[in-house]
Formats: sequence, structure tokens, C-alpha cells
Amino acid sequence: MIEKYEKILKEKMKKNQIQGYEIYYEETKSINIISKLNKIKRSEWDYDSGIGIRVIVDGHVGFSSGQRTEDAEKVIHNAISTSKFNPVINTFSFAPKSKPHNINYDSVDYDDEDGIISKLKEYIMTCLSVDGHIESYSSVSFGKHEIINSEGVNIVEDWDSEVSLSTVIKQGDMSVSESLSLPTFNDRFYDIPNIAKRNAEIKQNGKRMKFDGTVVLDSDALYSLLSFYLSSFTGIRRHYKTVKYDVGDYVACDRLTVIDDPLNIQGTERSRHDMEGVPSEKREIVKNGMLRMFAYNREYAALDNVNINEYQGFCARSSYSNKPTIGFSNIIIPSGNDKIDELDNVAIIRSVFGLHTANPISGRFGLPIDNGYVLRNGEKIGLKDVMLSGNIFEGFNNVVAIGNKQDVNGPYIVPWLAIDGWTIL
Amino acid sequence: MDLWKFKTYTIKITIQNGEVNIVNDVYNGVSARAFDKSIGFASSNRLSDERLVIEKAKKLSKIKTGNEDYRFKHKPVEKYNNSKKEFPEYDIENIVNELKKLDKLFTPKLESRSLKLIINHTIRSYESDDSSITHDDIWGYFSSYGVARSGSVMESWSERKGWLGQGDIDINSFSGLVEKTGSKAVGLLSAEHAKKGKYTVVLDPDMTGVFTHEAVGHACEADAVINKSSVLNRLGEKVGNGLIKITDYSSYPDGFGNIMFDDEGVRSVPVVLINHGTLKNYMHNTYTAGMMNFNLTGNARMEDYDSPPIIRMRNTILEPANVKDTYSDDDIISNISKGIFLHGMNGGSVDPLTGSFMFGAKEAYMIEKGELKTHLRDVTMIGNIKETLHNIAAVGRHVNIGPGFCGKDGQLIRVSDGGPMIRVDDVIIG
Repeated sequence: MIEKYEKILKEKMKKNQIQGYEIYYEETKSINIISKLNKIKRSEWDYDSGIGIRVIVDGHVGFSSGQRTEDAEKVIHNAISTSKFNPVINTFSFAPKSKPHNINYDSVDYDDEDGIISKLKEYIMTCLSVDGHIESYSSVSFGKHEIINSEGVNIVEDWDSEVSLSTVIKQGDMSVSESLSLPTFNDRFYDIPNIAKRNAEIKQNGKRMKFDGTVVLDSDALYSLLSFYLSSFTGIRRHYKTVKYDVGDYVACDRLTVIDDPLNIQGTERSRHDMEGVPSEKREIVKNGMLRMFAYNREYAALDNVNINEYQGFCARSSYSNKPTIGFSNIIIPSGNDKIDELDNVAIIRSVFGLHTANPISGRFGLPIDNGYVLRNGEKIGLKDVMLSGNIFEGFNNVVAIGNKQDVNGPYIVPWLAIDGWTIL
Repeated sequence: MDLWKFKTYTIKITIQNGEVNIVNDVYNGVSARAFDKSIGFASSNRLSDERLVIEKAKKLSKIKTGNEDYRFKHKPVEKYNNSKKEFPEYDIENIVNELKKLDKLFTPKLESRSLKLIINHTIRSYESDDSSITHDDIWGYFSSYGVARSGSVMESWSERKGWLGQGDIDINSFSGLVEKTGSKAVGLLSAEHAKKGKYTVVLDPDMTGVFTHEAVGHACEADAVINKSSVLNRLGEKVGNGLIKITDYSSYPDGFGNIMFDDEGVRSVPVVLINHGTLKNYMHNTYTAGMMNFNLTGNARMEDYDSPPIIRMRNTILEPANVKDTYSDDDIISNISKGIFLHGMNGGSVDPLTGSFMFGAKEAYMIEKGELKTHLRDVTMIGNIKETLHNIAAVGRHVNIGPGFCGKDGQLIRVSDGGPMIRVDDVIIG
């Protein structure tokens, strides 16, 4: 498939109909099992593959995608014919040839479908064995890709895996959800349903209450709030002027550092290069509270007139059929020295929902608390029907303690944070 | 065995701060669903994988837990085909030029602005036993978004329009939405924050719609009920004030969620969920109708070939149960001495199991002595479904609906929701 696309694109280069090209080929496969109440409801298998191409035509960048070899002429024609509508980016070029880092990691065996189904069923059966089970979802997803461009990049990345389990457990009339994602199978998955059950019991015995003291985000709650916080610091937001901060501004307290590290193999967003072939690198996005950089891919770096070679490396793709965008990889917050789990008279928040309703520009939010409790004199008082209200940027500036150990879930490797200035009502 | 084959043509044009981006894409896919010990579903984007996905679905359907109890409602045989089996030609260059003219209508006071147009044309084909249904699913969606800034204060506004069917797209008809987007975003800069607390609130039709869809509609999906995940779990229960009726319509004038058949080949019919405050019915697919022994309603929908059909809403609308018990919009406001008027939906979420919800409004106004006063921003209401349904104290006469995309289990699907202006007492504002 790739060969046919490359042959046509090379011919167009020779005729100077295009001045550069990039081919991104992707295959994905996923297997998942879903259980409801006391039984397995549905199991799913999905395969997808296709190509996304970018071309440079007189300074314009065009994009199109296809799924079949026989569509190559049409897909390339689409990319060229629609490029003229896109802006001229004179300083843009595709990623130069380079040597990616040689990191090694384990992955689930792609071909062992029976073994995968057996393991996923094991996780689900553990969830089903817990009283109050409402629903669970276990999955393994795989991805592999190739990137070829006219500058000499030729990358083949073999299958990598991500294993996920989420469960909802109900006690009385209260339920909580717990979830975990890791690159491979892990015994931690067996703990998830019991953690959910314990928290549902706390919530069931809890009450609606107002709280104005220190709020502790455990690593689970921090994941979702971090993704919202970091979305402000992409080159897309900066280019389109929908963020009020700039490099050098203080966006967190001076003890807090936020790192993007695709080379960390514990996180699910590990990779030797980004999705346009730029070698992976560990970067400090926020250092000691100060915004050090915005994340860019090469196209937005050129559009925004920043140094491409300095800021590139954050190219992400949701699929071969979507134009490349900007995204973070594994997000790491270095642990502090504080024993947060020994604090008293604090609210511990494990999960919130409705983050899409928060104001991404001002940072103000009011989010229902799905899973949390107030710790008072050592007693856990569950929180029911309450909302966490505040401002994300002000909150990260008011971090009063950073936990002394990190948890890993998905692409996040972070400690607990204690924050002042937010309200529970 | 159910078999789906989809062919889709989409055009997405975005103009952000004057920069145009176009994606036009054609893709296919095939999926199969089998039932044995459990349900197996498999999909591939290669139409040639038809036999493979059938084999995978059959294999997955043999997974068992020892607690098997599955009953599917028998559905009538349907034969239907209205597909032209070809995609129309769109003059993309002309559309882009028209959108560029629209882009000039934004006020220059905006810090950032964008326009987005999506045209989607899917040929959806479904086969099962003796049924065979093929139809064209054609829709378009336009949205405009603006961000205004004053010092460190940044505020945004968005407008949207959705339509069904093919035809000449009158892009000029969106000009009012674009102008409103700009003026509203700028106007919000001088708005104030609401003092947190409990208020009498008035929801405009947009907010009534989001409450109806998110809080009531999702809790009336029979899969949530059967899975013990809904607070609205007893038919016949008085769950709200007798002033209201809530219906999920399979077809409604200008409805963005209109469908003739669902994705299990079932003819789609309207479902009255709540009437005079009493819980009447749920929305079903063949599985929940079979398990609960109810009639089919045609609510099983899939976003794409690779998403299994699940229970989804269509056009979910709150209406007055009796026209005589209604008020004019002016009367609803003028009868409140102190309260908050919430205007425009800005996202929301709900836990159907506990009934807790929260919804954001694009803007709000303090109501003082029956008049709209201080302009407010970043206003969120939080509450519980049943409490709120009981606290509806007045219902307006004029129903308005709006288009949107509903997310559930990772699938987005086109829907409408709406209603009249309503007054709700004792609402927490954060």
C-alpha cells in the first residue's frame, strides 16, 4: 500500500507538482470485554488501517487520507487540490532524517488472541466477583505505524499495546468508578474492583457537606485536571490566542515541575519519535512554576514563527484519517517530600466528572465529585452530591504540599497534590 | 447474525483566524454481531473482511460466565432501500469562498475566531435474517466560535446549526449566528460572577433541552435501568411536577435526531417518557425490550460501522403537559423577585445512577423584582434529577429545539433537544 503512494508522490516531486511529501501508515487492533451486573454482556474485536498523507504545494500544506491501495491517485489528488485553501507556511518542511532513541519495552503479544481474551476475561471475572458490580470494561489495544517523508525519514514502529480496565461498583444507592491503564498486563488490575468497592462504601456512608479547607487531589483526580491544565500550553492554543499565559509566566507554585517524557517506558504514551518522525525527547513544560515552553509540531511551530527545531516533537495523531495535531506524551510530576497521606482535616478527591464544562480559557470550573471524602480526625466522611469549585490556574499556584511517591496510570506518572483555595459545596 | 456495511463521505472545513483547513475523506467498513453465550461484535475497515468479522463475532459470542440469561425481542421483517448509492459532488471552492465572506462578519474585537462546517453522507446498509435496510444518512453541521479578551479576562461564545438531507447549503443564512457569536463573547467580558448559593432559576429553551436530554433522557434509556444505573427505575412513579411531559420523538420538525429505522432494523417510534410528572416508558433496543418485555421503540443507534448499536435518544423534548397551565416568557420572569436566568447551554454531565447533574450556562442574568439585571458569566447549576423535576414551578408556551451530538460509550450521535422556558425553584448555583 505504502509503496504505491510513495511511487506516485515521488513522480509528482520530479515534475515539481509538489515540493515535499509525508506518508503516515497506521494499523490498529483492539479486543475488549464488557460486563454488566452478573454477566459478560459483549465482547468486541476491531481492526482498522489506513494512510494519511501531507504534501507541500507552493508553500501550502495539504492533507488527505485513504484506506485502499487503489484510492492512492484520488487521495493524493485530494491533498494537492485542497492545499491551496490552507495558509502559506514558507518556513515549513517535513522532519529531517535522524536517529531515534533506542528504547526497549515489553508489549502484549499481538498474535496471541486466545491468551488476550483469557486474560481480559480473568480481569472481568474479578470485577464480577465483587458485591455491587454494575459494569466493567477490559481491553487491549494495539497500534503500529510507519512514517516516510521526502526528507529521508523512514520509520517502522512495530505493535505496541495498552491494557485498560474500568469498573463501576455500587453500594446502597451510591456508586463509584475506578480505572487503570498500563502498557501491559499487570497484577495491579486485580486490585481495581476492591478499591472501587471500598470507596463506594465510604460514599454510601457519606453526606452532602460544604468544605473550604485544603483539597488533596490523589493521582486519579489529578490525571483529569492535568489534561485540562496542560491543554492550555499547546502551540495551537497560543497560535489562535486562546490562552492568556506566555512563556516565562508563573502558571504554578514554585515547587511544581511538569515534564513531558515519551522515553519513559512506564507510561502508555511511550514512543521513540513523535508522529511526524521527530526523535523523542524529555522536556520540562513547567519548571518550578514557570511556563518554559509551548508544545508544537513542525507545522504550528512554522505558523507561529517559533524556532521549529527547538519546539517541535509534540506531533500527535488521533488516527491516520485526521490531520496531525499537537499532544503531550507521558506527563510526569516529580514527587516532593510531603507525606500527604498523613494529613488530617483535608478533603481527598479521587475523581471528578464533567470536565468538558470547565472554562478552558479562564480556568474556572465547577465539577461534581464522583469519588472523594473528607478526612477528619482520622475518620473518612464520604462526599455525596457535591461539587468541587475553583480555578485550575489559581489552584496550581496554591499547591501547599507535593506527595512523596508517584502513581502510574495511563500516560500520567504523578504524586498527590494538596491545594488551597478551592471549595467543595 | 447482524451485518452492517457503511460507506461514508465527509467534508470538514475549518476557518480559524482566517486560516482554512479542509479534510475530505471517503471510508468504508463492515461489522457483524453474533449471539451465543454472550454477544460478539467485530468490525474492520476493509469491506473484504466480511467473512473475517463474522468469524470473529461468532468466536467472541462463545465467551461465557455461567450466568447467561439473554432474551431479544423479536422484530418484524423490514425491507427498505432509498439509497442513491452514490455521493453527490460538492463545490468545495465555492463553499470555502462563502465561508470566508462569513468570517469577515465577526467583530474585529475578537482575540480568536473560528467557523466549522461538516457535511456527512453515509450509505448505511443493514442485514439480519430476512430484513434488509439500506438508506442514505445525510447531515450537515455549522458552528461558529469566538474568544474575546480584556487584560487577563478571556471569554468565549459559540453558536451552532444542524440540518438533515442534501440540498444547496445557504451559507449566508448563518450570518446572524456569526455576528451573535462575536457580540456575545465581547459582551461577556464585562459580566460578573454569580454569588454561589441557592436560587430560583429560569432555564431558557437551550438549558431546558440540556436538562431534559442529559438528566432525564439518559436516565430513561432502558440499558441504564436494566443495569441498575438509573435513578428513574420505577415506571408509574411520580418523578416530577405534573406540569411537564417529556417525549423522545423519532421525528420532529427540524429535528437533527430524526431517523426512520434504528440500526437494528426496527422502525423508530416516539416514546413518551414522562407525562404529567409520572414516569411512563423507557427507550429500548431489542435486548432491553426482550429482557423487560416491552415494545420495541427503535432507539438502537451506532455512530459508525465499528460501534455496536446501543440505546440512544433522537429528539428529546420537554413540553407542557397541559397548554392551559403555561405562561408567557415575560410572565415567568416577572413573577420572580430574586433569581437567575440561565441562557445558552455550555455543556453538562450527569450520573444517572444517583441523579446528580451539573450544567454550565453560556451566560446568565440576575433577576431582581421581575426584571433581568446584572449580566453573569461562568455560571453552573448543580442538582438532582428528581428534586429538580419536582421543583419545576412554571412552564412556558414556546418550544424551541437545538441540534447537538450526544456522547455515550465513546460514540457520538446526532440528536436534538429542547423545550420551553421553565422556572425551577431551589437550584444550587456554583
